[in-house]
Amino acid sequence: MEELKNIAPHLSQLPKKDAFTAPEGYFDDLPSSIQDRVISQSKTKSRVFSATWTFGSLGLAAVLCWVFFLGQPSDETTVTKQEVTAYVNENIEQEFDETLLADELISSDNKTLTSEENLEEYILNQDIDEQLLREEI
Amino acid sequence: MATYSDKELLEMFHTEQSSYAFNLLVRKYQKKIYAHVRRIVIDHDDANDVVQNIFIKVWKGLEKFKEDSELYTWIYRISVNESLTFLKKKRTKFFIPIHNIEKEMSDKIDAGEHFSGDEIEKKLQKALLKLPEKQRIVFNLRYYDEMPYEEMSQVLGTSVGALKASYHIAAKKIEENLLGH
Repeated sequence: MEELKNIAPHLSQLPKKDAFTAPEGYFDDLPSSIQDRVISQSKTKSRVFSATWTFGSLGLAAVLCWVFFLGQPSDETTVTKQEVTAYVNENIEQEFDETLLADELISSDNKTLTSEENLEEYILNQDIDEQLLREEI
Repeated sequence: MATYSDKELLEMFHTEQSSYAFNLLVRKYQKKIYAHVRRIVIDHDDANDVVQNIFIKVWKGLEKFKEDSELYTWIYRISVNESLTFLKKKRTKFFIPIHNIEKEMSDKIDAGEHFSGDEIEKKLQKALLKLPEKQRIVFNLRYYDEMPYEEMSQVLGTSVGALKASYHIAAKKIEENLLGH
């Protein structure tokens, strides 16, 4: 090189050779070593993607389920017996057919009322407004 | 084995033969890149790690490679960056001061493993280790790879004028070292 002759005449006269060598067969194997690393990295990447996708999907499904059930009216609204009785007493005239109500009360308690005494005793045991009942009778 | 031009390899890569094209590309550049990296990191095992990382980066980047720049200068740019990153990591990993890393590399040259040079060549390589890293890379690209300054400018992102000055200074320092001044 002409430029080197002027800057470093001694260096320019040295034989230029690459003194660093590689082990025998190194360049025969290197392309396949690199290909193997490329393939393994691609697999790792796809496994990571797959796991991320799976867990992501499961998480999303869980959130959607939670949102869905949160929006549903609960079946487990607790109403006490006293509240039911109070409601019936208040609305017995407008909303309830007494015959059907009596049937329901009887069947729900699984009792067979065969006589008037039994019926009277049953009514007295229930928390029903007697005044209202008398008026109805 | 047929030698393909970079353009042909890129065309092949963008069709369905990407793995085959990449394999050909590795075979085309592996010796040059290995030699370039080896001159920077000195040790063969280190050079092997760096070269593999370089080609994996090339593989990952080929999809988005802008064909308005030269494939060959792009690969060299990755090589320079990876080699410098490797040395930087080595220093921070082992908390080795700069002079000790150069001492370690100098000892490896003396050990002569995978090194076929004579005493003058050893002296030259040790003189090169005394240069700042970037100056050493400029010298290597110009002296060994005989890369034109315009291409070196693309590889290193430095102006042609600055590269000429850097090469000039590096060659002077090496000459003085070889003459024992």
